[in-house]
Amino acid sequence: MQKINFRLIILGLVIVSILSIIFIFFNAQKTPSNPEKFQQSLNIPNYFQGTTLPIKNDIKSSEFNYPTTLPYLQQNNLTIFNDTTITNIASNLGFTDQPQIFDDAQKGRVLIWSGDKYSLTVTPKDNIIQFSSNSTARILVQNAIDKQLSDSDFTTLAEIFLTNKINLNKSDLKFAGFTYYKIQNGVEYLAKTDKDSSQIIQLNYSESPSKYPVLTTNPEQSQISIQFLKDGSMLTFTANLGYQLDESANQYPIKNWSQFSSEIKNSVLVSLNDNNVNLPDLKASDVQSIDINKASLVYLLDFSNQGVIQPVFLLEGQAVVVGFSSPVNASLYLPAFEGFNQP
Amino acid sequence: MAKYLPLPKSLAECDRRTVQSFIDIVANSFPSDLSLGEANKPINEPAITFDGKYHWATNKDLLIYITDITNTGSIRDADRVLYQTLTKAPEYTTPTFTGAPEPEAKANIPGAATREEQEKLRAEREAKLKETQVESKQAVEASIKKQQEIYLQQKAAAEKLKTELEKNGSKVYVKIEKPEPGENAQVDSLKEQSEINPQNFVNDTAKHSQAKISTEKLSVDEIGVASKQIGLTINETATGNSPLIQIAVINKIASDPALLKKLIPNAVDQQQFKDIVSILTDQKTSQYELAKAFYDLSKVDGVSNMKDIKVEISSVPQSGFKEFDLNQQIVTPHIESLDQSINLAGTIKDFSVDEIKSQLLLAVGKDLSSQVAKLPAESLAARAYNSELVQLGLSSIGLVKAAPWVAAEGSLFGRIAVGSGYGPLAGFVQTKTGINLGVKLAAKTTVETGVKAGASTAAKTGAKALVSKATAALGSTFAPIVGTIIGWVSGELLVKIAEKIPWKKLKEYSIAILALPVVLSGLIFRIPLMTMGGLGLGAVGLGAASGITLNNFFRRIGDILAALGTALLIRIATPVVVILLILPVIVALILFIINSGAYIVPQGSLSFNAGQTVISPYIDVQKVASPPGPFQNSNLPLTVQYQITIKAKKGPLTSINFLPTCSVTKKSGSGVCPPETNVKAGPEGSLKDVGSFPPPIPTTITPDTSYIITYTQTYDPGNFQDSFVTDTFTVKADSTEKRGAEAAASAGIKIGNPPDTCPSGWPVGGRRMITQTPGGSYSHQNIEAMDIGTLPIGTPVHSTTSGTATVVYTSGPYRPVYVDISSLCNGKQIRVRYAHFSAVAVKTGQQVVMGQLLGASGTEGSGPHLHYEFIGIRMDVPYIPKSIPRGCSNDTGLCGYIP
Repeated sequence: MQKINFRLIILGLVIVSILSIIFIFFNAQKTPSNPEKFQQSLNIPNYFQGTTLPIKNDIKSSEFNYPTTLPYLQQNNLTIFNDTTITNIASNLGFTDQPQIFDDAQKGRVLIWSGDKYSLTVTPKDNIIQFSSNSTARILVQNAIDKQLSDSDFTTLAEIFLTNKINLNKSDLKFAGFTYYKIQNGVEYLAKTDKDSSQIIQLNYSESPSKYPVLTTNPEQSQISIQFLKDGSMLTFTANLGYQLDESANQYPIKNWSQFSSEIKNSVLVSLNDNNVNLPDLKASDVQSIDINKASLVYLLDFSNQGVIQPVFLLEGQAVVVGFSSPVNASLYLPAFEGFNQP
Repeated sequence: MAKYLPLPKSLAECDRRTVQSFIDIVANSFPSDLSLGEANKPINEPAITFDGKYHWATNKDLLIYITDITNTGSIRDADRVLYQTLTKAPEYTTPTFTGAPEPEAKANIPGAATREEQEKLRAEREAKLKETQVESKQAVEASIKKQQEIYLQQKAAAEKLKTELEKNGSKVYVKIEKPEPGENAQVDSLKEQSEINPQNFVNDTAKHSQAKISTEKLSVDEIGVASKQIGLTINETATGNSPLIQIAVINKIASDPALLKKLIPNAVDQQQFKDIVSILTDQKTSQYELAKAFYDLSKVDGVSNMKDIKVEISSVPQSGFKEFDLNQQIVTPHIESLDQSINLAGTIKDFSVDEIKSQLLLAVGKDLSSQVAKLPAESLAARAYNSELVQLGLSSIGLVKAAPWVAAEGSLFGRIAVGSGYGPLAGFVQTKTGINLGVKLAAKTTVETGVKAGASTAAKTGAKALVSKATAALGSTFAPIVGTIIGWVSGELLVKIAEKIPWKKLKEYSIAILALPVVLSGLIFRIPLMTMGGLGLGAVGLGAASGITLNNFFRRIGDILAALGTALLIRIATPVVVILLILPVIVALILFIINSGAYIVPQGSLSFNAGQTVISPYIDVQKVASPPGPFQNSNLPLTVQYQITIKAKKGPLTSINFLPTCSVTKKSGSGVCPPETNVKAGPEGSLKDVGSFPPPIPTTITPDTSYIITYTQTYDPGNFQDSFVTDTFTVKADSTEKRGAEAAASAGIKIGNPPDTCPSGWPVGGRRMITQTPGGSYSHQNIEAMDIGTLPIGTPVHSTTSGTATVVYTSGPYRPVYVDISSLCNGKQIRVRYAHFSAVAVKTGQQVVMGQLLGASGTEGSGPHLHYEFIGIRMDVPYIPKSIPRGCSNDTGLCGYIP
């Protein structure tokens, strides 16, 4: 029996190992650098879960021009919305006495100051602050004179308020556009309109570095919103404060046209008739059709995000709904990161 | 040739450019009155239009001119009229296409039959409204007449007292000892100027004050009147007769029984005198508070508080004693105040709600001007009056930052009204009309029930108490300082708490905790290296506990990474970098959660109690029924004992008022509550039989001892089968921190099977305006709902049925959150919806009983209100306590009020 040549075997193993390492190395180099998919779920209230709404995509592929990857936003430099912060803001807004304190079954402490003209409500757990007029918008709108204030005038007024009263840094604020409203019979809240026929001007801001706006589960409500009347007096201010947003270091793949088209049926209806239809009261069968004709990328602040804010497609279009003689505005959210079909 | 053009006499004479120039100068001169701008310009500055064509000697002249020419009462209204005029000008009426009105959704347009019905209802409603308006007007007139009669009775009593004093001698002699102020040449000079020309001095002081007050958000009229009052107070202080000294003197007299007996032998007249002293004390206190908010008066006369002043009284002249005429100093000013109030009360009925405040302000302004005019206008000394020295002197006593006006003290306007002697009338207007004039009256009983009741206030408290009341009121001027101290102490406490948190351990735990998700995610995603990293991290976390620092940990990770090959580094680096990235976020999050637990929820923070109906930071009221039930009809007759426990949460409670209410709901409609028996009340541990209910009101309730009231009610079988009884007990009181605080608690008992699954009663207490009813055009065209407005955010909302709760947080029309209570009403499944909460006290699936607190009212953004809706039944009697006009939408009260 021939003696085993251990030297050869060892040599062979060394060569195989070297070749394997070379193979692995080059193979790794050649592997396409697919970014990792994002894994965290979204929390959008879906009142039609388990049913598929009749959603039709009217957007053309040529109109679908979005980046292939995006970062998520993370809440860094968490600023605790503590009693001192709250008291300072309350004091800036003219409330020097003790607030009423309520214990909300879900949101914890709610602090309420009620003054002659305005009220302030703060929910520390969610970092939500609302400062609103005690008069009805209807009366205020009737009494407000149109001072022909320019966009720039409103921006200045808003920034004075946000920096002087809410103690925000001007450099952290990113203006995210105007929304126009008017008083209209037949709706519980306000009706969206265009600039020329507006009675209430809403300025939207976020504290995000992204070029995409940060919206809440209410697609008309940005992270920071401030509403003025035509005479420059304030109607309401609502914000989710207490932190700054930074982009994640990693980028994650966004749905491409094909994925978008196939998954649009799974998007979540969040608003009908400019938020003037109570979705929980609506049966899925009442929504006869939704034609989507516009999509835009936004970040969604869903209040249970655990510090991570994801991009979503805000889909807008018209819906035919039982009880309405003509189509009404509809807004839906579709998670933008690849791999999410149903939030 | 005149430098400026003559001012147009009416807007009709003005061209567009002129109107525009008026708009510009108004915006420039009164920015804070118009929007969010900075403070208004000083009222004494001259005003010139930007184009240099028109001129006013002062901003006040501009204000008067603009309000006159626009026929308005305020600069804001004037501004509106100017804009309206501008838009009506020919240059602006260029033809524009006006599109057709936007069609409303079909669902919002009622059918023809419904419209006819609505028209009919509208006509009925309008007739009812007219009737109500006539009745309201008559009621207002009757109320004012009654109040005038009260003032006339008070005047007659005061005149009788005056005659009595004239007969027995109205003069006493007083000696005042007080500390002297420190040496200050500027203050000395100030005092000197007040002697040289008091009238000029007051006017100059008022001007100086205006500039200081302008930092407050006040109307120009309010600033003008407040400045005048401050001018008069500083003049009195500079001449050694500050309001504090006046308070000390009059209360010393009122608390000297021997002297009173000698001068006013009749006991009733004595009481009358004490009442007048009480009112005058409030008035002087307000004057002092007003000036004290902007100037350090102690630098002028050395007096910081009441304790600094010692007063001696003598009925005969003595060396070092000054003459003091009781009629001249106390009774006559009171009679004059009553005359003014009688006159003004007579005209109030003709004023609209918006006008009352300005008319009151106007009256106060006139009186103050008259007081200033009575001062010597000519120089009383050979020396010349120097306005600049006054300005310098005032600057030396002016506070660097005006004290923020304390809400607990009432508004600045309220203090002006009280300080000028119009306090009782303003209080009456406030009580009767609900217009918040910011008046907080100590002698409020004189407003409510007239002479006899007014007398009882002083009778109970006595003159000594009056002094202490004044001292307490003045003490509250320093509330901001106390607040600051409390804030500082709290801050220190927080620091101490923070020090007690084992931060180091927390960090170590954080690392160990972090390891777990990393390991898990490693396993889940099958990344062995990440798992190893996680395990390593956990080990390091544990290692950290034995001395390995976080820095070393990161350094080691760096060493490991450096030791690995480039190819593997890419694979390893990703999870490690992810770990490194998420590490600070998660650590911060954990710190936040633990840190929050340390101080975000303070001890004693309020929570909803099913029995509490109005929650106050200052008063705690609890009401319990014993036994609590529920009871069967077979338990009748039934005796239930109720216990009400009242506690002061912060400072002691004074000026206490009890308001008990009781209601019975049963199938046959409402019923009457049985009488309260075995009523006992008193501080905890020493309850006494008091006989009547509500029991006599204690003078004070301190934070140390609860005040307890117990009573029993017996429910008989004839009246209380299948009924639901709800008792609510409301406590109103002044706390050290806040006047007029209010808290309430309810206790309900259920007997048999009452109809509590059908709606009954109103969901909120108090008188509230209905702004929309079922079928209302705003938004209720197709729903059985009403909007209850004039509802301050935070108003407690109670369930009007028993049933199961569903809570929905939403961005829709019922935002931000609504509650549905589902029940079976007369065999039909119904839901009662309450919307626009700011906070909710119940959870989905929770069983709720009628009367239980559901949450605090809020707003959806277009104005605070409660949306109250029935789904499954019509919103009408007996499910609501009274019939309401259907199809009504109105924000001014035309849809009626609850209750």
